[in-house]
Amino acid sequence: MSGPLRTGKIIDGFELEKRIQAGGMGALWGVRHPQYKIPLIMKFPLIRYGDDSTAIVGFEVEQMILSKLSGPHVPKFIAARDFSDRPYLVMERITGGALLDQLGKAPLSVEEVLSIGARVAWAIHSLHKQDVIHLDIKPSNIMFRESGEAVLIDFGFAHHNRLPDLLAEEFSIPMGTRTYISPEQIMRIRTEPKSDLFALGILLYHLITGKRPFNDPTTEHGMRRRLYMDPLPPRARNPKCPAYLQELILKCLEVEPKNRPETAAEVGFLLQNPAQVVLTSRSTKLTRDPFLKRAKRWIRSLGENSPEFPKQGKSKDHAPIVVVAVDLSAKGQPITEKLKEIAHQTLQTLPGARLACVSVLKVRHLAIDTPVDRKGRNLHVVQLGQLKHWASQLDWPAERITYHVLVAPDPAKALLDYARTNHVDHIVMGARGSSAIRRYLGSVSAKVVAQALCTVTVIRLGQK
Amino acid sequence: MRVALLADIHSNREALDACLLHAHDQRVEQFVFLGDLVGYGADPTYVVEKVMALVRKGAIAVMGNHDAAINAEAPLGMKGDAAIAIEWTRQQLGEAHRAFLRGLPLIARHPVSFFSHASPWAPLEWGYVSTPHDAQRSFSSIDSPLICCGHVHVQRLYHQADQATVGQFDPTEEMPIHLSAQRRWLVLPGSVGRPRDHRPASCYAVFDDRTRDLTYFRIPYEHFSASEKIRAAGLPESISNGILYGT
Repeated sequence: MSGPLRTGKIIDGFELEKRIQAGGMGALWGVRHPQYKIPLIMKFPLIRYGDDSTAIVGFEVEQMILSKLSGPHVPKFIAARDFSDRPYLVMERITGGALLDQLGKAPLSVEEVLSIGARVAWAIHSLHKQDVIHLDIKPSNIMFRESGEAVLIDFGFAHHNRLPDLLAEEFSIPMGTRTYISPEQIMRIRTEPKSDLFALGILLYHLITGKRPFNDPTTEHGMRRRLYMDPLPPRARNPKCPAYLQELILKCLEVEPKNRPETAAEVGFLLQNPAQVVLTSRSTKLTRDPFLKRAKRWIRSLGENSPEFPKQGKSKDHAPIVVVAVDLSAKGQPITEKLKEIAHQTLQTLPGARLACVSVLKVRHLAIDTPVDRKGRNLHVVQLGQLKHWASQLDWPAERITYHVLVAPDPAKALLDYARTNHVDHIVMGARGSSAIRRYLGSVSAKVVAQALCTVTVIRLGQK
Repeated sequence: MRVALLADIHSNREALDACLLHAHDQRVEQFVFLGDLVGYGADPTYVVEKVMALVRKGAIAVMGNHDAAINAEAPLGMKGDAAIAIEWTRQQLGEAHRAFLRGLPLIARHPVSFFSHASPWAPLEWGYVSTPHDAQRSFSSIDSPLICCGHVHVQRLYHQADQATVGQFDPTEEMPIHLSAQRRWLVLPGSVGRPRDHRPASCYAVFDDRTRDLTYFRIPYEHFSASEKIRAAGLPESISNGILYGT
């Protein structure tokens, strides 16, 4: 199967249509195949004599990992041929735009940054749930589907927790893109999922300020600066950056992974629910850390006392989002107390969990006005207060608990929508006993159980 | 073709049957026995006959140090419980079984693969491939892109591209690993009859030479029965306990 690549050439049934680009790592062709209806691209690695062999190994890695991935946040894997012959990789062509195209317009509006950031965070989360760390999150590796979801491409530097890491053994240079590389990647650690959160932090920083937090270092020494030099806070560059966004960005850019958010899901959740970000001194600072603090970090970065980078990161879903759906109309009833008890027990087994307490304020129609009670009190505010009071006995840390009152005519649908858009892992809710009305209208918990994409625990009081 | 790699059965009938049954469900068409059919366990006759039958149908088998010891004057450097088990096994086996074990080759070569029980660079030394350094030594002495060995009783995968550093990987069960043709691989499928990673479940692996996917398996089997039979045969307790606890 030798000979030059040209339009009309057929390779294993794939007909080459149009050369899309010749990137640094290889050539991309649009191809078609009678068996596949979706648009396809074929990727060929660029192998020249004396080439940096990371390109070749990177292609092996991408073939290995992409074929194991699924879901809307990666291009669908179609076929691959390895190096015994002319190697190639065929995958779905993502037809929406690339994030790179929008980067020139940065700083973007806060709304745009939140929307892009959340979608990228969910894509990273989907990858992490499949045991893969991307390790090269950057605008040129992020595309969008026409339906809006972010799609991560180029898995040449990726690490799969259950496959041999072909890159770890062979190269002593830090692997990643120098602008986006995390401190632990500079220290040659390739097993930390939070490396992708660091890159996401850089991406958010760039989108909201139009500038890169660490410039564009050309040497390893330059890259190492991020182990002690904290970036200028985003609000110092763009006063329109809200405090919560600065808080999130700087948290993602923490040097030690343990100080970053627990999961990509947490970042996605907070970008979608910014009012729930717990603000610390990070959110208000307008200058870099004082000289002494930086000097301390610099000394630490030099060796013996280097920052704590755990050797084996967890890609498991150890910080799930748990929703407890509270029916406040049953306040004080045994079922609500029992719900509290079971919620408490569930949380004890999930120390990293993010808890979302949700109640639904049922309205007849989707009204524009906020419902008020007979005394004219804002029912939304009243319910929020009741919800916080109910949850206060759960003793869950404030930075990992959020409260939401959903206003909707159909409680089950509202809960399901909430769970889907916030990528909830587990819903805990009560089921009230049967009654004539319930039989007629259908039970909320039954509908949630039937339609939720996640785990649902339904509490019942049992026989008296 | 899907090939099952089975090493270190050690006369464990229950474990072998469980793996063969599983391999059948995996649509395996070829079997490779990587040595040590006998030693330790209570069913040497059954295991040897089973393997003999499969070899007649085209299976590949190489000789292990316990197999060699059956026909040796003195158990090859074996001491203690292993030597006691060899002595006991010798009395169980008939001449046909002994002749079969005697006739096993030390290594088997195929167009793309190499099979041996122990150290590929010197199979008769019965050395272990237990470090990347040992794997490196194997890669430099054998030119096959795929080397499969037994003897170490753990599941592991080594790999090397060109002259680069050897990589070591501890596999996860039931996760197909694509063995890229761009590099060389050394496969340790683990022990069928006596796993040593503190889990009693049997170990083996399946390689699909069309897709080049290698999958490691752990197969739970009736290890209580296997252990009890060893005890009942009067064999050392360290062996029956080893079967129970995976040591």
